[in-house]
Amino acid sequence: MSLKNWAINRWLEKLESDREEIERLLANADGHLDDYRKAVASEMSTDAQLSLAYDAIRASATAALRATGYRVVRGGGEHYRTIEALEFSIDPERKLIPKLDALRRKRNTGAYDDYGLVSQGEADLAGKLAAQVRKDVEDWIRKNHADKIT
Amino acid sequence: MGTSGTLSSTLFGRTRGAVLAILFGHVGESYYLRQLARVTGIALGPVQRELRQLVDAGLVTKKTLGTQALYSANEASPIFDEMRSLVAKTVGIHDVLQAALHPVESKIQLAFVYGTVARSRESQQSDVDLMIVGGVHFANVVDRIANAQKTLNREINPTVYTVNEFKSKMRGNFLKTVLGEKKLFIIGDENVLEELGHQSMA
Repeated sequence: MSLKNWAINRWLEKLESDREEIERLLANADGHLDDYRKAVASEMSTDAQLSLAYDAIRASATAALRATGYRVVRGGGEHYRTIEALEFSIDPERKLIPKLDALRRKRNTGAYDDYGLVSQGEADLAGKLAAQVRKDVEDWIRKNHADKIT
Repeated sequence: MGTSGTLSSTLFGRTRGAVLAILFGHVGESYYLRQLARVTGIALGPVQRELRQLVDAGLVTKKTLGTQALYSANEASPIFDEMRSLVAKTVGIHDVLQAALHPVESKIQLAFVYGTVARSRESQQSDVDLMIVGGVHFANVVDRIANAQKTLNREINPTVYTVNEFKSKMRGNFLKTVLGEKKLFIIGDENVLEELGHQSMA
């Protein structure tokens, strides 16, 4: 599969992006990462920690996808597709994606159904992966779409 | 709970167990003969023989579509609920998850399925909610269950607690609800759970 095939399947659509948008998304990820660290320092619940780390992951993943000039079609599992699309940027071997997707589902369960289920280990993993994805995405954009980052 | 492999082979045998696991693990879905042979990894002949017997026994329904037959679990069978429960506890979700967790079993004190699947009230799309207590890492569990998700054709949502965290969360609303519901034990049993409960009260 490729980004083109995803577009043929109507999971993605073409939409040009620019430096301003990409940098805003990366700043969004940084903001959530800062909040995540504050949540850890102030011993907020593990559900809140995981949710903030996940928001950082999603913002970074969105930056990677938008840098390619595509966006997820609305109403088509936006978060899921955005994470899965990391296969076309920082995670071609899909070493991270299954873990990120498991965290996505956990964040949804915590947010909508079962508050209080997130363990410390899960929240810690989310924080670690959020920082890694943020860094990997910026490195990847610099290497592959240098015109879209200062 | 190390006996389920013996249990399932005693009750069903390999081919029957594999066919029942697919059909009763995906109630409401229909499968072609070739599809069942491919998914189970068993030759067409043995699968066809099993299906014939299961249809004759009324456990499986056969519908003809053009020149091909479609097979599904017979929800009208008088022992449908019992069969589904038995399959889940032996050749279905139980065995698949136990095999997936086997390499890290020594680090796990307790693992069980809860939620709609454990209550046998799942829909075709229901996720499998899996609770794990022990010293294994969440990332490791996600890696271990990747193939199980494909086999079961369902998403598996693990929650991994250390023993101390599990004990402290037993007083919280989420675990209180989960522990009050029906569970399908994969590693450990009700005794291990009770022991953890007593320790949390101490």
